[in-house]
Amino acid sequence: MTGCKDFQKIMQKVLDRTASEKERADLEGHMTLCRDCARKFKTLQVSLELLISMPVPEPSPTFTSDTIKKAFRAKRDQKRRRKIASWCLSGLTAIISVFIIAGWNMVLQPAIRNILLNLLKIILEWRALFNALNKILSAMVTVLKYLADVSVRIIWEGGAPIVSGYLIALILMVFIILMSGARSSAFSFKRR
Amino acid sequence: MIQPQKPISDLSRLIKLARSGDEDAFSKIVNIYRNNIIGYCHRMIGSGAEDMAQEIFIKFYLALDRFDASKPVAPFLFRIAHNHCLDILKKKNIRTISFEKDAEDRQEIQIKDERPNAEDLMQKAELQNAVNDAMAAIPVLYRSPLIMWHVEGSPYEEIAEILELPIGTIKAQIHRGRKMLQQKLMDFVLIDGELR
Repeated sequence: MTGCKDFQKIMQKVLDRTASEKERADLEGHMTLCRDCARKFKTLQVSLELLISMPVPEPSPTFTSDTIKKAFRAKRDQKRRRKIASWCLSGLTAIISVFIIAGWNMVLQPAIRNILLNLLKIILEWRALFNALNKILSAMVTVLKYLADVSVRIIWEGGAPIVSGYLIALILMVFIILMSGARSSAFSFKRR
Repeated sequence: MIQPQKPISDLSRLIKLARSGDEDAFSKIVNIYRNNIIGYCHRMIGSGAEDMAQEIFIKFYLALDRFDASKPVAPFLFRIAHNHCLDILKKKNIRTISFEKDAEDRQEIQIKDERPNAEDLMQKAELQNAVNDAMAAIPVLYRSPLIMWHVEGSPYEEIAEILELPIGTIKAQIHRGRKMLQQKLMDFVLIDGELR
């Protein structure tokens, strides 16, 4: 161990009261050679000595008696405050208990009833909406049904000649198309 | 460690009596620790140490109900003192401490002191002022364990218990505090180790 840094560590150990005799002797030997380290150690020693011997104001002659008086008064105040707090807490507990017990009938039950009634109202309102939709749909169905009935009745009652006429027209058209095709092919054959 | 004049068994008896409202028992406890507490407050905060010590003892008395009488009193009392000092520092937002009142006291002491070497006294007073200023400039974090270790002589374990920190941290804080003190006071010590 030769460096000043190492000796500064030993200085701290000396002040921590953990340095060995050898370390102390080494430090003292080093300080006879290194003035900077000696100065540093001296500064530490002197400043700590002064910190320890710092003049502290002497307590006044009435310090203890005043402290006792104040402490006991504070204790009485603390007890009084605790008593008041415990009374307040008991009162609060009693009030809450009253609310819980009586409130079921007084406050809570009507409240639940109101909530249930509101829920029922909402359901009924929705039902009304469903009913309206149902009515619209059924009206539409009725109209469609009526139209369908009318059309079927027209077809069955007065539509037979129309259907037969339509069929005859269809057959005639197919015949004409076929005939015109045959004629055109015969004509083209003759030309050739 | 703070050496109470009475053994722990006597102290625990005093604590029990004080808890039950015995004024004499509590006054004995106050008398045992008052100088240590005033000294600690003075070194931590500066002026107004007596009032602070009084408030600390009041807090201690109010907290006696939750104190285990079989344990040593000093760590419990010093924890209250430390927290009280921190509260005051926070409340007043104090970064530096004032030793004005102390300086007056010191002057009185010097006048009464009739030692022949006045120059030496002046030197010491100057250095004392410098130590006060240096202590005031050291952060509370380092100041508190430094005072507990060097002034009160509390072991690391006790300081760790009071400040609720690991022993390693306490050691590091003391080392740093000492280094800060050293740096601030280097100019007051001459190269040959003599006081300037």
